[in-house]
Amino acid sequence: MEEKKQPKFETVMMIDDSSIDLYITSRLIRKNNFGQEVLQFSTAREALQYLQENQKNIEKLPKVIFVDIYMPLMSGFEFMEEYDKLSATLKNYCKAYIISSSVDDKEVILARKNKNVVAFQEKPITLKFLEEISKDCA
Amino acid sequence: MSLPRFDHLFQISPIPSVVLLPNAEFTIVAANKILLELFNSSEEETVGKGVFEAIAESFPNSQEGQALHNITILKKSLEQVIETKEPHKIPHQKHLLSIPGSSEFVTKYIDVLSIPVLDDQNMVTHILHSVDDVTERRILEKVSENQKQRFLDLYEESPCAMAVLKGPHHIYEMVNPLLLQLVGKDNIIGKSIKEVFPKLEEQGYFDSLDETYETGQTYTANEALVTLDINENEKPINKYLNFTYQPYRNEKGEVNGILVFAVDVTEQVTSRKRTEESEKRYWELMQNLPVATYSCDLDGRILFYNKAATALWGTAPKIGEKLWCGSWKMYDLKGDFLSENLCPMALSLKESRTMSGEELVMERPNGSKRHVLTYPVPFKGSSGQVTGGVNMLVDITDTKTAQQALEKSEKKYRQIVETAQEGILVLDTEYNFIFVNNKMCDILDYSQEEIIGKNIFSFMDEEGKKQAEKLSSKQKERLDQIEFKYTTKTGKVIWTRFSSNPLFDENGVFKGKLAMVTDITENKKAEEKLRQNEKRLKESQEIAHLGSWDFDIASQEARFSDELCRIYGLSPEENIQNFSDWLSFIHPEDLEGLQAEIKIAEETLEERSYNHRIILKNGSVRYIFGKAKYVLDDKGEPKGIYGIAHDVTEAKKAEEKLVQSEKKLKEAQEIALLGSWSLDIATEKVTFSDELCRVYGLEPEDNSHTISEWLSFVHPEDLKEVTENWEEHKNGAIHTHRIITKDGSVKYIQGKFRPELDKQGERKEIVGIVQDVTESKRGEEKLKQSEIRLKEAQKIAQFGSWKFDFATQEQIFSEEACRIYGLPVDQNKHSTEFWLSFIHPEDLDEVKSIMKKSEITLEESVYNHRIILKDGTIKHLFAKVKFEFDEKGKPKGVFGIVQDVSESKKAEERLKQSEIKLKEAQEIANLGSWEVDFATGVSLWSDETCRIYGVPLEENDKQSFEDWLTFIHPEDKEAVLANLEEAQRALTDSEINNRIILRDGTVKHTYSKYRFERNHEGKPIAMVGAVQDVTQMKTAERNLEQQNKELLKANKELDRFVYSASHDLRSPLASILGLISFIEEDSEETETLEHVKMIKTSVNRLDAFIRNILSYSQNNRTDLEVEKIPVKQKIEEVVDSLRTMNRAKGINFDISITEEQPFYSDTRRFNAILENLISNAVKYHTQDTSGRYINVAATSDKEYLRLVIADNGIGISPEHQQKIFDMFFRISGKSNGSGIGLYIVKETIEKLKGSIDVESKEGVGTVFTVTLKNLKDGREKAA
Repeated sequence: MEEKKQPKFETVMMIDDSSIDLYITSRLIRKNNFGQEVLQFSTAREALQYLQENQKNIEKLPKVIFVDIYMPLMSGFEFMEEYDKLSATLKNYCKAYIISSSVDDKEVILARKNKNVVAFQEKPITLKFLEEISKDCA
Repeated sequence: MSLPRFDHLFQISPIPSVVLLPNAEFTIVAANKILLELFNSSEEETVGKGVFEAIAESFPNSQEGQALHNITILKKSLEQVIETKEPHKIPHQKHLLSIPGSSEFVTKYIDVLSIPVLDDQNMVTHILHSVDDVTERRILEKVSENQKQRFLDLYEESPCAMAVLKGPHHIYEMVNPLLLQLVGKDNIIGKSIKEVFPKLEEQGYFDSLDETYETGQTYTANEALVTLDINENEKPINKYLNFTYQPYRNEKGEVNGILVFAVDVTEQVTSRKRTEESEKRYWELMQNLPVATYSCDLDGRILFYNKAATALWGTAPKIGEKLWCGSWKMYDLKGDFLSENLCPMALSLKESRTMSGEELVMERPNGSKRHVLTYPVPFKGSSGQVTGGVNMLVDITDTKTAQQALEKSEKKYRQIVETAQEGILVLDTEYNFIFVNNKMCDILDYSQEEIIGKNIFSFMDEEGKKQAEKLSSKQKERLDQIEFKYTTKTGKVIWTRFSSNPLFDENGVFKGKLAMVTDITENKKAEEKLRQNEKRLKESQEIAHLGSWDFDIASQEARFSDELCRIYGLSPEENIQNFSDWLSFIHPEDLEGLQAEIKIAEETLEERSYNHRIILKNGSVRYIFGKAKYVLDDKGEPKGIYGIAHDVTEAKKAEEKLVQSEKKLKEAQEIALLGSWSLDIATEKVTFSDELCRVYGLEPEDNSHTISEWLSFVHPEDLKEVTENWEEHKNGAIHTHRIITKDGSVKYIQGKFRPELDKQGERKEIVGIVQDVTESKRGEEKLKQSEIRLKEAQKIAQFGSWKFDFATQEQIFSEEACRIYGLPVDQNKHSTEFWLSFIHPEDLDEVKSIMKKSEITLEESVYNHRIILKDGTIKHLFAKVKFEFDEKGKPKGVFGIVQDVSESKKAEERLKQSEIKLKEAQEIANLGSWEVDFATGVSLWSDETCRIYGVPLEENDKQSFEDWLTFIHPEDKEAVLANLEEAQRALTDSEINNRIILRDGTVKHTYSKYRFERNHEGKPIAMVGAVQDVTQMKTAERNLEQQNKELLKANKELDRFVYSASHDLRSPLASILGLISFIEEDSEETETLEHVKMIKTSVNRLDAFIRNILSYSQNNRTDLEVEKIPVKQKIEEVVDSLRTMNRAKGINFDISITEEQPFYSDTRRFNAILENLISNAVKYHTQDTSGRYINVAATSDKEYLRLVIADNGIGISPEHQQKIFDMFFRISGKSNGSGIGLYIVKETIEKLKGSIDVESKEGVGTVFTVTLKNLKDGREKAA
């Protein structure tokens, strides 16, 4: 049943303070062959640091970034502010998605207004959502 | 006059030509066919090359020298053309033309002509360069040279003049006769040309000769103007000559002479010049032609137009651009726009026909319009094809206007003539009618048809004709006021006054008469009558005693008749009086008038009549009516005066008396406003006096009326009475009635009439006098009115009056007084005792004492008392009593007015009652009142006020302002004082909240309202106020505020808590769901899968609940976002998403939406309502029944959206229906609902300014009806 297909994306980045969610998402991605590699970060700062260091190195950059909103130290939106300061190359290459268990409209609107955010997704991440992303990026 | 285009001309020109640019190479820009043929070249080879290069190429290689020679000459020539800007010609140039493909060549002789083409700046832009192949001629010359002998034989007969000039000095060697004839000389052989024609030198011809001699080149002159001096004494002759100088060569080929050929072309040139001149003039003429003229080519392009055309069009169109006509706009005669390609010019050219006089209207750019006749003429070329045309435009606007004016005036004139009250007629030279107007027809009583063409004499009898014929000699004169006699169709004789004017045509030839005729038949008759009368008068004068006199101018003496002597009181012997004697009789007052009369008579010699008085010797005065007439001698000179005089003294006196008496009567009547009338029984005419006319509003002349006219003045309401009175009292009566005068006003008249009887005792006349009594009647009427009004007023004001007459000892009540006393209206006369019996016993003494007192003082008295009516009713009366006095100042009675004031007394009573109640109310409401009188400094506190301030009730008048201030809470004192100061200025009530501290230390909150009372100067004189103890209210208020604040805080915290809790709760749930999906995917154990499914259901339920809580908190936290909602789409979306629920299987959804008006609301909240209600309908549907349905219906209008969600599900029992909207209320434990859904729905609906209703029956179904406000105008923001 599991054909060895070419994964949809080379690299996916996950930023979530919940290790369970990190696990769930990365498993979902790998199991369904959405990404070769899942970069997991439990803080936004670390993830940002990774992006900053590799912003000229496209092979190391994730094609898709999922970022949670509610995280200690740096929230998902604060991350997006810093993300905006990154190179255009990076921003053109990476597609960032806001992921949250919140269903607050204010946040949905905030996500929609952010030009670097492709979409807002309610947790949990489902297969259907991943398929939509791959369709969008195809 | 279409002008051929240049390039066309150029191309078809029979002269080989090229066009050169004036640059260094003289580049060829165009070459025509014939040139290309001549040089065996093509356009490609030629155009673009320099002319010299082209020439060099056309020469064979071996002949470079000749080519170079030619080029040098040409270059010089072209440079000269550019410099002088004049054409230049190189005659007879030898050109060796190579034959292509061989080294051979042909020799050509060409005339080279270069013409500069100049632009407006007079710069040479091009050079037209033509070469004329004259080879043939040249060859001919060669031949002739070779055949010199034959030429010599021939030249004698040559058609042209010939001469051979020898040597460099051009000595005539040979001449033929024609030449001699041409120059008009003989014996010229052996003479040099210079000797023969010295004048020629200055004309430059010798230079040409020299040149020919030197260069061997032929010189040709065409139409050269040569001035020949044939004879020294004669005037030189100008001749136009075509001549050629040809070199004459010896055997070696050297030039040793010149052969001259000359043809006299003077005649041809002159005639052509004349033609040219005339052509130029023709153009000039065209240009200045007063008629607008223009020409077009076949395509309609305008090629030419003259000044008149510019003037007509008001514009100067561009040549070659405007089509068919230069007019700005054109219209046909109906006023419709006429397009240019349909204008007469266009039609004429297109259809190749000449058109004439087509009329149309042209509009200038400035908007003025002209009527124009057009005369387009197509021009045809030699082949008969139309090549263009000329159009002439004749502006007839002025003519048209004039014509219209003429038509108008003619119409007017005709109207005048037709409606004239004079007969108007026109006669021809034979006196036949050629025109008569209606009036003339009326006069003659014939129709127009019967008159026209007839001779005027045929409408006259013999007498008339005779009279008229007398005048026929005066045919061409003006006749004025001649009397003419006509006979009408019915044979009646008509006298007319006839004035006529002769009519002449333009050439002054008499062509008839125009006459005006007035019918004077009536005048004639009147005249006749007058004549009769005069005759009769004369007779009667003869019968009467008339004095007469004769005055002889020569002797200056008058002879009086006997009768006149008698009149003048003279004896018959004194019958001769001279003029001055006579004048001495004249009354001085009449002297001046009489002398003036005499003077007029002297001047006019006409008969005069006069009135004057004379004074007799005995001093008596007599009135004389006289008449005097001049008697003329044969020569028409006055020789004497004849006069009559009549003594009219008696008549005059009677007349005067009459006038006097009438005048007096009139005056009397006027003074008394007394009119009189008399009715003549026989004629049934009433004659009014002047004053009566005035009364009736008539002019004094309008004084005679028929009886019915007379009666028509009577006021309709009085007419019956008047006629009855008239019939009843034929022998005289007095009458009063109203009349309506001519100006419509109503007058009262009072009159008296009586009959006048004749001798037989018959009534012959009824005379009456009438007086205008309107004023007094009006007064009466007014009085009556005011009495009625008084009565009404008394009734309205319940205001009665009575009168007590001392004489009769009777008291008379007015109607209202009767009513007040409860008496019938007719029972209005009483004795004093009767009146006193009404007075309330308690008031009786007072009334009596007042009465007594007033009887002494005779002053007005006022008193209040009560009366007891017969039915026992007690009334409060207000009365005022006044004495009335007679002329002597003695009291004759008492007049009293009385008013029923029972009602106001009652009101007073009630007021007293209400004051008591107020006091009670104040006590109950803890409301105290107080007042301060500034004058006395006394304050007065009400009981309640004392109670509030904790002051003993006895001290209610002991509290000064200062005392009061000590009660005020120190922290409020400042505010209170400021408030007081403010209040002192304010005109309205002031209020203040402050605390007071009682003597025992209790703090109280008070609310006070007060105001300053002011005197008429606006100065405060007192202060009144109310004070309320609001301590309890204040405390409650403060508590409430505190609670509110706490509540608000709690709410906010709760809200925040709910939000973050729900978020934190949802987070792990999401994780669980994620993990579950893995298990579902990985595990194959049935039981595990079953358990996992159950976990998932629970988690989902929990998730839904949390979402609901979130949604609720959002509903509270967020503002409305109003936007247009596509209702149908939204409902369908929700239904579609819910259709996938398991329980929805087999349910039939029916959606019917009517969106009359776009619906505006908050989309998210609207969605939440839909989702909750429809998902509920699905959740609580029955499981078993078939035919399950959910119907969703919505209708939106301007105000509301009505949403009805109906199902045939399990339904809700009545006891639960009110609770379903409560938070956490759930009906059944079976369902997995949280019990918050409908609560949120209700909250949300309220937020959206709507309402929800439920109707349900257990086991039947449920209907939710939601009404939401349409928030279209955005003002309906969140509540």
